[in-house]
Amino acid sequence: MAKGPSIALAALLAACASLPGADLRMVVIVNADSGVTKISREEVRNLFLGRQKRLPSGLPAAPVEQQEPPSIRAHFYHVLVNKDLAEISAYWARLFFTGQAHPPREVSSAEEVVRAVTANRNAIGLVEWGRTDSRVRVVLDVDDPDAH
Amino acid sequence: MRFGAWLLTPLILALAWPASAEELEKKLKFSGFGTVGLVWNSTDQAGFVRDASQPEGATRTPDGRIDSRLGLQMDATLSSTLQGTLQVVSKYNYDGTFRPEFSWAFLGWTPVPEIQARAGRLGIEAFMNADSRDVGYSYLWVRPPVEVFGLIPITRMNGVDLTGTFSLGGQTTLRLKGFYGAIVSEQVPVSGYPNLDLSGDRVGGGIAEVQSGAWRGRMAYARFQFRKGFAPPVSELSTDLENLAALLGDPGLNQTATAVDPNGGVLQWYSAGLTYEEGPLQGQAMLNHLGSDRIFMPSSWTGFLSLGYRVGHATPYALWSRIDSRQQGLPYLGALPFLPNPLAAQVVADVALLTAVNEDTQSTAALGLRWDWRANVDCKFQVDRIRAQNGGMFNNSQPDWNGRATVVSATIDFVF
Repeated sequence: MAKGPSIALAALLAACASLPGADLRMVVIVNADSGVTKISREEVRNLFLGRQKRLPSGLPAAPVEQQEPPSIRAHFYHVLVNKDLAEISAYWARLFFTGQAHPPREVSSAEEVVRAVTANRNAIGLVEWGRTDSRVRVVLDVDDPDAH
Repeated sequence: MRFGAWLLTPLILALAWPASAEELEKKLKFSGFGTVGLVWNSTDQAGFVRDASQPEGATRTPDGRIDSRLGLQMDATLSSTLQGTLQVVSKYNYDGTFRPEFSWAFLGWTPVPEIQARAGRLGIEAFMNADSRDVGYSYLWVRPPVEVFGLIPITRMNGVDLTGTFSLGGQTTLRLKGFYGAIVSEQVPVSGYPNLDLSGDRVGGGIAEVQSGAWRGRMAYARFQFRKGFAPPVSELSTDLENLAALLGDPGLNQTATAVDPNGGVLQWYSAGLTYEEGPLQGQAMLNHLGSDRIFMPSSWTGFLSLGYRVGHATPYALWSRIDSRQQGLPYLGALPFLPNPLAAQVVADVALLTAVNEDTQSTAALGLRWDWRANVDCKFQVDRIRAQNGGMFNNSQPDWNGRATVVSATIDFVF
């Protein structure tokens, strides 16, 4: 008799397990001249939510985000704050429409994130592992559970 | 007061104006938000309003005026440290129109990333989310709890504010803000009296907010000073009481004369708020105390508790909110009720009316659902069970109303 509910539960668990971009591996990158060699998850979270205004090296921070495909951002916010994109968007609506803060600058692709970070020593971005090159410095492996 | 905000428009545009269209596109950003909503109230004996400035409330006919609104914003990056923002909002005004008003029109200066100074038309952040109340997409509910957000419909000022954001080490950040200005054209319709007009009266206050991990805690203080407030006949009531005090040689009546006169009155708003957001869980609590030395707005305690849990794209939530007015019955009237004098009888009746009008005691238990059905658009459905005393926060309540109402609301919120 309990079979119906348990199948439903299993389906629900399966749905929860197929989280946005579960097989993605993302890294945080900064400019080689930023003076940043490592950064904590907390700092990345606070920087991308506009709560912290400077990089660990003291430079004013300019976060850059990749809009396409949306699964990249979805994965990032899921791993970092366990929030979906609608919640992040609601969060920014409160800050933006009260003139308090602007969301991270939007660029369209991983290449543009790398280009933006290369061009500006204040920039901080995140891209899929393997999309970086020698012009930028990787400071955090977002999907490494041992990284703090 | 209004043309002050208009004046900033050409100023910001002129400052933003460079040579090429490409540069302009970089410097200017256009965006907006809005809500389309319908409210239905189970009773015809009292009108459901979102805040005290709305002239008519929703009854048993579905009403689209209460929650619907549209905001348009332009942001200009004028230099690396100078920004300009203009925001216009159209919503149901105190005079029954949807005439758009400037909600924000300011120049902001950010000399270092931690400090922002702003001057111009600004929202008043007297408590948590007070300045984002029109942006339905930014919160879970159909509307912010009426018992807290509906009490003092003072949302904008012409003034200045200064904000500092600091890292306290680890994951903890601190935000400090102070503000001061002149209230902008908020009017409160009062049945049987001319509108309470608050424009030009002074407001000032400050906020301390700590964010640490999933927690956000906030203490706030705001002080409203009313210089003109009610026009006659309420100001005449005060004069009549002073005359009677002199006539009867009763100084106690002088105190009553002060208490019934809104002019010179001071409201002090103390607020403590706490939010907890961890993954799909969203909890919020707020407690406020309003201290008043005048009868037109009695001292009160207000607060709410809210809990939501996201499942996929849907977030069901529960919300409980309450306002408890601390009116101590009629003020001191001495021998006036026993005098066979028409002026004394009129004064006693007016004081009784003024006292009764303002006993805002009400609580709401609500259940709702927010559904994020696509990027930047949500749909919400909410049912409120309300219990009010002496009409509570409702508009135009009938004397024989039992103080109970069920309010059903559906909204669509969007940002772009």
